Amino acid sequence: MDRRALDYVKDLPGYERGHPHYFKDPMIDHLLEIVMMLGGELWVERDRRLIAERIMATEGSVTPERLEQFQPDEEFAKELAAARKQFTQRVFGCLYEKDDTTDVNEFFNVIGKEG
Amino acid sequence: MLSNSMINRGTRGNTPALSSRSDEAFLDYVSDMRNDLMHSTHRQVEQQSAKALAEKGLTENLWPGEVDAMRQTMQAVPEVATYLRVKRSLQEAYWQRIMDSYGMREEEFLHMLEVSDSEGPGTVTWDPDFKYPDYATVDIHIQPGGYTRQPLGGIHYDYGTKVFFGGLNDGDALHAKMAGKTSLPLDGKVERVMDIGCSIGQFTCALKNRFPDAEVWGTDIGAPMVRYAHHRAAKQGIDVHFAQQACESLDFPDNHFDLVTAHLLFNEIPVPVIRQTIAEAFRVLRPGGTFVIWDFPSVAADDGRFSGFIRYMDAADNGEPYSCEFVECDVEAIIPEQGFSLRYTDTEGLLRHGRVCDKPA
Repeated sequence: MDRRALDYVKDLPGYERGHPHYFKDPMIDHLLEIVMMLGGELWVERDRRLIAERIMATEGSVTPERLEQFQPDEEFAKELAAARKQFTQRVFGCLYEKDDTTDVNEFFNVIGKEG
Repeated sequence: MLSNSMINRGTRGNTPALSSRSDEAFLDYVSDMRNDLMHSTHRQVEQQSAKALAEKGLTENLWPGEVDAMRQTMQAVPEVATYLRVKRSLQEAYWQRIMDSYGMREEEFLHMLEVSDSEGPGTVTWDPDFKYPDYATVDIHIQPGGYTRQPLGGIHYDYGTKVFFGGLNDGDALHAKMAGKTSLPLDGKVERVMDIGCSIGQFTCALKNRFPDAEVWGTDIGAPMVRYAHHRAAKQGIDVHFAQQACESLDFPDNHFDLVTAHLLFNEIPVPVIRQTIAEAFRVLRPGGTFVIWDFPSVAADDGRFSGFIRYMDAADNGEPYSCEFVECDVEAIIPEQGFSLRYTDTEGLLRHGRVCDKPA
């Protein structure tokens, strides 16, 4: 294939990574990103505390190695997921309709449109 | 050394565990945030963006020239600007966290791939001096280094798509489902199979699981992808062969395969490459063989979930420069031009049949 026929791709949006901003004042983009990243770091600390408490309650003591190797069982994983959901909704709920029932399955159109 | 660093954390399913629980927790958060702040708002974003674009007269034939104008228009619609900011920031955040986390153990993972290169079951062939065409050097999905320029790109992709799918594809469940629905040649004979654009081999392995007696190949242009694909398959004991090959220039004889698949490849390559790939698939299939293309529906058959705006902004700001021209190129017309008979094409959703193309017997 003639590679020159593909020269146009370099002009397509998305070919270069770019640094888009979406608000007139890019500082709003930065602030929104900072808030989301801070939320993530706060959740990390809460997650570690919940796991440490679980290990302490069941095993009596906790070490960094034990915490890193801990794998939640199904029930505890559900508890963590519920706590995380509650956390994100409390912090960011003003940005979306909490009663919108769209879930990940519907979004990816995986379940509903099968033949 | 930090207390939580460099502790062997094993694997999570078929994927190496991240280097710390903190990284896992952060990415769980990102995955949830994607669901809450993106998926739950896209209907509202569609309506508001369509209204704003209509007021500006920017409703049709926008790609690729009007992207900047669209982005600028949305500066006056805070809900849409917020959606776009959230989407971009979360996308950047998960790739960066994954790279940082696996990067702490970079030497270990490079050694792991080197060892796996010569171990079975299955094989991998790749060329350290491979010359990538420009089109293949894009950071698809803004994954840093893309599929071709970051040696650990396959591992990054593995965890990144786990975040993207929000747990839906854990255990490669979606790939298994799609492989199970893949149509066979009309005569039912499946002894040699090739999955082109195989990425990290999830669909390739699912095909091998479905056709355990067949010789199954996965090809991809990216060395980081086929190397990790082989490692991942071998760890599961799956006997498949991976080879670094460009989809438009396959190194296989004519009339060789019974079944060829392309799973979510076409939206990531330019249309001229799509044309050549269809021609190559036709060449390597035996008479009566079948080419199954699983990918986005063409725009004319789109079910209207996403406006053009969402699609264009995703292409521009999420590193998918070829996705728009693919869905707009009428691939259903290109397929017969290359000699195939089109048995099925999907008119809504992704998961009915895909595009099923038969080479005349």
